Amino acid sequence: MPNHSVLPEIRDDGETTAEREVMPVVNLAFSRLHKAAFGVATGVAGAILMAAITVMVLVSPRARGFPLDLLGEYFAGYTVSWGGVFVGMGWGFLVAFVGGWFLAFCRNLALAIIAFAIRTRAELTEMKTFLDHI
Amino acid sequence: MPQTREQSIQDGLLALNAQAWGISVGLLFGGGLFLATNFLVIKGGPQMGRHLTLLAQFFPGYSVSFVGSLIGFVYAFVLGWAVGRIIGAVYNKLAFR
Repeated sequence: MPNHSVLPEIRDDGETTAEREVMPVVNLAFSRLHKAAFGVATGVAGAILMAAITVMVLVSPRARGFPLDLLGEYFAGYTVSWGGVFVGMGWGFLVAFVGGWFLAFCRNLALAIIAFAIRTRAELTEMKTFLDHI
Repeated sequence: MPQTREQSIQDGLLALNAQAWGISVGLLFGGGLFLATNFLVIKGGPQMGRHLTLLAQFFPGYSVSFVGSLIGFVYAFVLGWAVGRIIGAVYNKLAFR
């Protein structure tokens, strides 16, 4: 039988029908990024990228003149050599890991601030209607 | 102890769509190189894009010109697509072990 009451239909577990429909969407909208996993993922991509460009400069005659060794100014121990491929991979992983971790942190922080603002606004609206009834 | 609704929202982890990430990062890389190249083309000057031209050593056919920016877009898009796919795949593998 359809619910014609003005009050929301409450199920045994205390959840209203509307909540049951909305909650999966809310869960998806406010789901966090796993910071460490995202850091490792960007780190792996960074390491592969560094290895690929170093190998390309070493192997390809076209790319041999590319001043990639300038990266050694920032990445201690990095040179355009076969040993440098591994040093570059290490640095690439580290830099990209820190970047990815921080990006995920900022994204989660922004999401938390937005969620807090929405909840505070909703609570204030609820309080306003409550005061209207006094 | 049962979780509150708020706790269950905070504990939710986002799964990345690797294909969407590939396209997004690809567009970011491709669009970035396209804009950077055309910025230099519009700006002009005697030694136009002296440094950006070095990318031709990795991307054959690329040059600091409008046609070169289109070629560069394709190369950078493919590179970004690969990077995005790697990030999406590795993240999902680690976050949902």
